[in-house]
Amino acid sequence: MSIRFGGGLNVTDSPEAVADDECYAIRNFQLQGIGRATTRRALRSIGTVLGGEISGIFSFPFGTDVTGGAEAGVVYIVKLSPTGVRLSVADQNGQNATIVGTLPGSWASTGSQPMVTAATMNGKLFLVDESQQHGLAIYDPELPSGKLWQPEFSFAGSAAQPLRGRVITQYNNMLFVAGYGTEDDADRPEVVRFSYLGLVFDSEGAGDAGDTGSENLFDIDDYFMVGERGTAVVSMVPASGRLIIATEKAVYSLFGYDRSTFQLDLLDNQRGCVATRAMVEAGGDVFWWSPLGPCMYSGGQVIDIGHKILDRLHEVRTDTMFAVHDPATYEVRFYYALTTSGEDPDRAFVYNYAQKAWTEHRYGTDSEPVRFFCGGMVRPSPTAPPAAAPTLTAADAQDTNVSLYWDNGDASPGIRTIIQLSEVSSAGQVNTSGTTVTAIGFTFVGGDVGKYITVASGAMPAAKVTAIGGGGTTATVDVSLGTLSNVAAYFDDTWVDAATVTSGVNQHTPWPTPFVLSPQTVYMARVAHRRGGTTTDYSARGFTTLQSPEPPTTNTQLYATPISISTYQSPANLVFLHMSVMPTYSDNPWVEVQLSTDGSTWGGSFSLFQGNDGLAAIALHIQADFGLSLPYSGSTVHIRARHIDGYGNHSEWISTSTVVQ
Amino acid sequence: MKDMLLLGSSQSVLQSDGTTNYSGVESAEANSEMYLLTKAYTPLGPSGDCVFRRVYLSFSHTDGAAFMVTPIVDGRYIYECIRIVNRPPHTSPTERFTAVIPLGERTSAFGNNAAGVRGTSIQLEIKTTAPDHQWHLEGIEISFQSGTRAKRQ
Repeated sequence: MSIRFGGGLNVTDSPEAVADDECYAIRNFQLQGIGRATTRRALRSIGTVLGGEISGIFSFPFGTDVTGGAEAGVVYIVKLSPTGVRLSVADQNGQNATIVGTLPGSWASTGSQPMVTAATMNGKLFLVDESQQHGLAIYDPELPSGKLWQPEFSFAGSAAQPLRGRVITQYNNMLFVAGYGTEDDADRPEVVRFSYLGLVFDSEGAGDAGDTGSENLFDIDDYFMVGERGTAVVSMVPASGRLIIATEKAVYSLFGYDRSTFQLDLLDNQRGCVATRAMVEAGGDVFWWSPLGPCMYSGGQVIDIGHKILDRLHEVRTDTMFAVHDPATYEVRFYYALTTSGEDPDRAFVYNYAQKAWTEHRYGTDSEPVRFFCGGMVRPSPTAPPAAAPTLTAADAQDTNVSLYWDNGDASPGIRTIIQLSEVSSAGQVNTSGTTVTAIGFTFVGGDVGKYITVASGAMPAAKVTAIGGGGTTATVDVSLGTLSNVAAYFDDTWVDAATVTSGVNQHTPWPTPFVLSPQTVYMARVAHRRGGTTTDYSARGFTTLQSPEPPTTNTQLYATPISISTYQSPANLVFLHMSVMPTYSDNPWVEVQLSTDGSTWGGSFSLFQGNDGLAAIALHIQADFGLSLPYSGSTVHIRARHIDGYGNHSEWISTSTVVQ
Repeated sequence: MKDMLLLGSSQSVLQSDGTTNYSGVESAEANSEMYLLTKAYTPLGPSGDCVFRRVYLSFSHTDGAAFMVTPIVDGRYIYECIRIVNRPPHTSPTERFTAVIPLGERTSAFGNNAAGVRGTSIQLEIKTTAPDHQWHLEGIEISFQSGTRAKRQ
């Protein structure tokens, strides 16, 4: 008889019901292919953290705070001894860690080990403590100082307080924090608050009054409740376009884009989640450990997947359990401690979702006990920006708007596409001072294609900055160039002043040589991929210059009074037109003059100043006399003139009349 | 770049996808053991009388393999048939090897061995003797005869 090993562990069924490819014990093996059992690879120590014990490990491929300036890949949360919680950032291999600092607020003085959950958004890391002893803390590697800071919120009008959430995640480009009501009613475990779309801060970061109010992160009314009052939201995991929310008792699915479209559906009222970190997404499905055992959700109904290990469930200590997904082995691992031993997990039930089979891990001992506090999948950012530069083209200009189309090329998640606009001064230099430089940063959101953004005048509110585009997709920006001079600079998730834009935060190629059309204002646009903050990675990105917007197709104040006409006659039959032409700002303009004897039928059109040198000519204030010999002695002659530019746009007629001598 | 799973252990950062040889200085778990216990196979049914002759255990490796196989017939560990398999590292390509484990049982104090072990069910216990290498258990074949037929012969 022939035996294979694809069935994994089965300790529940009767011997006759156990399949031939199943085992009574399969420990420290993993299932590969069809019917093959492979001894698992070992854990290997790749380094240590200083000063305490690890509380959390999170993927964070942003910034360059790593020793040696390498691209960041991982952050370590370390409980210091005796007090405090530190954040260190390491490279994509988890090494070359640099201490960023101690987390602010009560994090800095705690003597107990926090249970940290984190979310990444817009290149920032957001941390909350499951025990809700410490408020929301933020790590922003792009701030020149104060990279670790803690916002405070006043939702009910009382003194602002840190937001003490229990669990945090990012879904649809919004931050979701569960477990906090208001500063007056903080302990609301069933409440889930969600942030503004895009969650934009200004540049000042910590200590800035503008960031301490709820208006910059959360709308006071943007929250919903899950399940019964007092039932804690335990875990939140986004998967397949939905946010799976688990309470202690039940599990729900949230779908939508904002408060008006959110829909919360009950998936199962018995299979909640036993611990905040005991739920994980894997390949679009969600796996978690419920009070009834391990479960999964892939659309439809919640499925129990623990049938074959039911007889072992009693040994699992659930409060310190955590789950991780290892895509390399198609495994979801539930790390746990025995109910009869300490609280630190030292073993795991391992579910191979490709084989739909269980194995288990047990970890040996060395000089240091293997004690897991938290783990996570580290998804290193690519070592270089996308090979294909983003493209940017300007569409046909409209009145005072220019439509920009860009393609993200082969950008992948984590790559942000930046589009910047600049106004060139008459001297042909890019004006980088004051408010005349506008930079627009967009956060890449995979699968969220084709959103539309409009840059409004005045201070740009967060809600106006919308996540756009995906790799290989095209999106549109309609920028009202006429309003840009009043728009504060916004760059790459952070409001910055113009000086900062040009001095380091803006880590890519210098401004390209302006495309100067004339002494008039020229607008330019460029686009680049940005990853983290590595300077060298942004050379030779593709930039596109953008011609000035075309003149208006309708009359504006610019064209309202371009011409004044007066006549004087000497000698007879000869009319001299005295024409005063004011400067215009159009391209290749000329002046059209027509005559009429009855004031309604016009003919004899001729032009003045027509030619390629028209721009230069009208740059000056011109006054000129032109003599016309008109065979209408004693009759009234009507004369009218108007400006026409190189695009055929024109002003209204300016008319006069005179009696020919 | 490949995703990487990191775990925290007190002050140490552990990489799950470690080297194949984990008994070195960097080991975080020198004493972990690979263990596999198959189901109890009853080739002729729960009351079928069999004489189990041999076990053919196929595996592959590159870095060497070392493990111990213990047959269990009707719940009895057949200690006479414990086989320690030890293969040295093999240069590429991967070596595919089949260990043949003849089954026999000491029938007297003087060492007489019967050709096969008689019983209804058979299990195999496989565990590592030195967890130094990664190897792949590809499959097992068990040869047997009907016990009734063997008796007639």
